[in-house]
Amino acid sequence: MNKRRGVALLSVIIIVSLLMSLAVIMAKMVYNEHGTAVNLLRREEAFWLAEAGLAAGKVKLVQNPDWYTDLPHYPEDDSHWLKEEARGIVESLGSGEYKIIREKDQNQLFAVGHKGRSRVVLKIELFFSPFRSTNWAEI
Amino acid sequence: MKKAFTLIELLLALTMLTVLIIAIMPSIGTSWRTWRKLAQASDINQTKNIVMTRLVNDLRGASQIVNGSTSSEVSFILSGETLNYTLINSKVRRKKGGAVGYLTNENEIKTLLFDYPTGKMISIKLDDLATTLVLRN
Repeated sequence: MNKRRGVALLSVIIIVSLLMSLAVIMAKMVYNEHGTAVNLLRREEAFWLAEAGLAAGKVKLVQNPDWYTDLPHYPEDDSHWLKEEARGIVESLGSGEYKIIREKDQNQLFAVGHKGRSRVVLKIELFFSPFRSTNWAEI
Repeated sequence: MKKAFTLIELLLALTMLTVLIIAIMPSIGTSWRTWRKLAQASDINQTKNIVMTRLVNDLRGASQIVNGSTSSEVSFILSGETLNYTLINSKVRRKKGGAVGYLTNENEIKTLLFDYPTGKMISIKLDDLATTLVLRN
């Protein structure tokens, strides 16, 4: 009799612990899923903003092939520099913005789409006479 | 008889179990519902991205925007055929010649707006997604 005392209470504690663990795991899953969904959406928004930046940059280059926003930077395709330091033209579109960067005398055009904490950098190679762009890439 | 639980022990255990289950179940239910909503939202975001990609690809290949295009509807010439995109009954409609197709289900997309900064440029706003492009041809 004495040895069995408290067994029911112990069972309840184990069951409740399992249920609480389940609740915590589900809450964590939902939290992670929410974060992933928001990041994905912001990234897509930033991607389309960067596309808009490339389009706007191409229009500027057709009007003036010598147009540039900053001096050449090395190493090439330095995404940190492009996102944080490069001088460019910043335009708002919708609820985000994009930055267009063209280095002097370089045959590349960069655009950084920026929405929330997400940033996407796109690049195209430029050819002149006649003007065309190729080798679209995300960096 | 002596080996069984006492009535008080059983009642106490049952009461505690019931109270704690009642306390925990709503949060599990809420988590489950939120999770399902998020999964649906992810599906809709994917749909938006696909619609935007298709719209942009069609427009990039277009030779001209047809006069009469408005902020809610765009018509353009692609490979000699007239294409039209608009939002009807909360569904994105793509009309090519006489063929009509709906790219989304009802209420997946709330807004589809167009702006024409210049003759060859077009800005698109599809819910949260916004972009600008230039017609290639």
